[in-house]
Amino acid sequence: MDIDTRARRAGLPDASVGVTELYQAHAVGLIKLGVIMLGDRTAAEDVVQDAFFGLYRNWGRLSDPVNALAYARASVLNGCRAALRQRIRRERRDLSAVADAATAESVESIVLLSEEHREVFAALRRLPDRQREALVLRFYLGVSEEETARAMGISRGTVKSSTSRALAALGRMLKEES
Amino acid sequence: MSTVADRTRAAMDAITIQVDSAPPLPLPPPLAWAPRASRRRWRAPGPRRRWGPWLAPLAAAAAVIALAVSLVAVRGTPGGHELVPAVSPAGAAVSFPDYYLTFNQPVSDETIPVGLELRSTLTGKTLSTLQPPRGLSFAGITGAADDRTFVADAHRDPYGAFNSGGRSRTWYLVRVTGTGSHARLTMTKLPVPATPVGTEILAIALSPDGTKLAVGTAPWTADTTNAKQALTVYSVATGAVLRTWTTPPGRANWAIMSGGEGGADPNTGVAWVGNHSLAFARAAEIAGASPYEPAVRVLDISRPDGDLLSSSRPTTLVPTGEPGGDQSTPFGCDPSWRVNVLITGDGTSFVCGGYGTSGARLPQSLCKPGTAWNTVAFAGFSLTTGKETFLSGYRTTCQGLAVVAYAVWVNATGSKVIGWMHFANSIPGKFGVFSNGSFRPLPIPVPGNWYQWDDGSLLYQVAW
Repeated sequence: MDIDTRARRAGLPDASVGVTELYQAHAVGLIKLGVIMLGDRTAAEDVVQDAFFGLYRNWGRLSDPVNALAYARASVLNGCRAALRQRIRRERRDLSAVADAATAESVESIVLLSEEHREVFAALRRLPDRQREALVLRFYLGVSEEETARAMGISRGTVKSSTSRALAALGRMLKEES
Repeated sequence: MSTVADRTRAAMDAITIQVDSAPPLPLPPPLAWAPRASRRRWRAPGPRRRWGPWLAPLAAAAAVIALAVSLVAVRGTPGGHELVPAVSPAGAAVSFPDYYLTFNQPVSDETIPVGLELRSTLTGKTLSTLQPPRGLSFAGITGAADDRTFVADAHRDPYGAFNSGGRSRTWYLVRVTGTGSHARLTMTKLPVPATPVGTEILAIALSPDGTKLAVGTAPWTADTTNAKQALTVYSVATGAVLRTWTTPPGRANWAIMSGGEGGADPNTGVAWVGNHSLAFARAAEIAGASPYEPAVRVLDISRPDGDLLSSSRPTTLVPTGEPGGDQSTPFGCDPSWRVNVLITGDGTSFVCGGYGTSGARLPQSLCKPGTAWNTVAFAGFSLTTGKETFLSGYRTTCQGLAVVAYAVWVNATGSKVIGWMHFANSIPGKFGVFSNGSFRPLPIPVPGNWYQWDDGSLLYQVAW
């Protein structure tokens, strides 16, 4: 049984149609999420495309189309985490690459930032991944608390505490640095 | 909105300003449905014997009878939490559980079924591993007081606890056989009913004697207008529902505060007080209290089914520090962990990690010279009087958000706490046994799991 047959049985549109529509509607927002998490547009685009390929492969397994966006968001977050872990492993393996990696990720996007934005972004990068994810999803992309919780695989309460702690930490870091 | 939020949003706008389009998504043509080979194991053709429906309850009952016999020794100690002494390399005898259970992969990996690992508390060495039943992935673990009996729950793919939200759970009794380096894990399917699809697990807790399983649930839904929380107690031996209490419809009436840190099912959302009561924390039900100050409620499980709140009674209001790490209060539990309930084995105290300005005589941990002294510690608060019953930790010059402490195990009296303490980014954290001013380091559980560093999700990923 192919993907589309399975999808039709589940009441979903064909995989290529459904995934393409979803990609067109949400890819830009998800790439922005990736850019903030990774500091690198190319890597962010790769992560988002991988997430939608994964969604395409698993389309027939979705029980409800509403879950498709949540699946894509969660996959993007997973992809970002994997990319960050790979980056850390690479840096540990080759200490000389640390400076190169830091430079590489800053060239395209960060160099264009003002001093103020660069300072905030540096503080943002120092946050634990989960706090940063919660902040981006809730405060920047305007994703609901419930959907943020689903995408991150945590409870609504943890979304709240993570955003609250993130803002408190940012406030402290920015105050310390000013 | 605060200035920090405004500045953050502006910076995010600035770094993503050039992202106004996405590259094309070249999808391959539809492929024949081909599940990944790793998820399907080859089985010899031929008829399958259907042992499962009647063998599982029998096996579970046999296992529970064995468990009841083995737990006789545990009942001899208060609360059953004082276990076999282990000897540290330095020669000082310290009492803590020999083993703990944990997951065997990062929670976010959805390609491999999550198994379980039995590890030595003292050495951190993996003693035994246990793969989940075919097609399933473990997502929750909780332990009895004998250090040899656990209950685990599992869900279908996609694998990884990170993907477990809203999925049906099936339940397994996991036991430790043998001792020392010969300790091994065994698994028996429990007759406890599977949770329906669309259920969020708020709490799992195995009673100290291993005979009852408490499960807190809520609908996995965005619309919580009519949603109820439920707390159900099952018989481990028969799977029968012994009691069920619910909250009135609507999120505002919910009682249990916990949720899935890092995806694993919360095993500290409710806690047993002995073998006949359950404790959970509920926020701000006392007028004038901060929303971060939980009232610990205790529920006698002999109470009939009914309303969760009216069936339980508030015991003590737990003092908390301010969110964000402000340490201006005398001593308070870290509000980030206020949803997690840890009770001493003798059932007398609520235990937490936190900070404050307490002047208690404690060892010092210097962060920056010349700044104010604070306390980072584990504390107990009497469930009867609310008064502090013990305090174990450090006086430190560190302060701010980086100061963190949370506990994962406590003995009968609170004289020994296993927990994590973090003072500042520049100082290595401490994980181990904190006991009346002394500290005995232990290997950090799940060191390969990056998630443990993030907001303490270690809490739900280990079971002692």
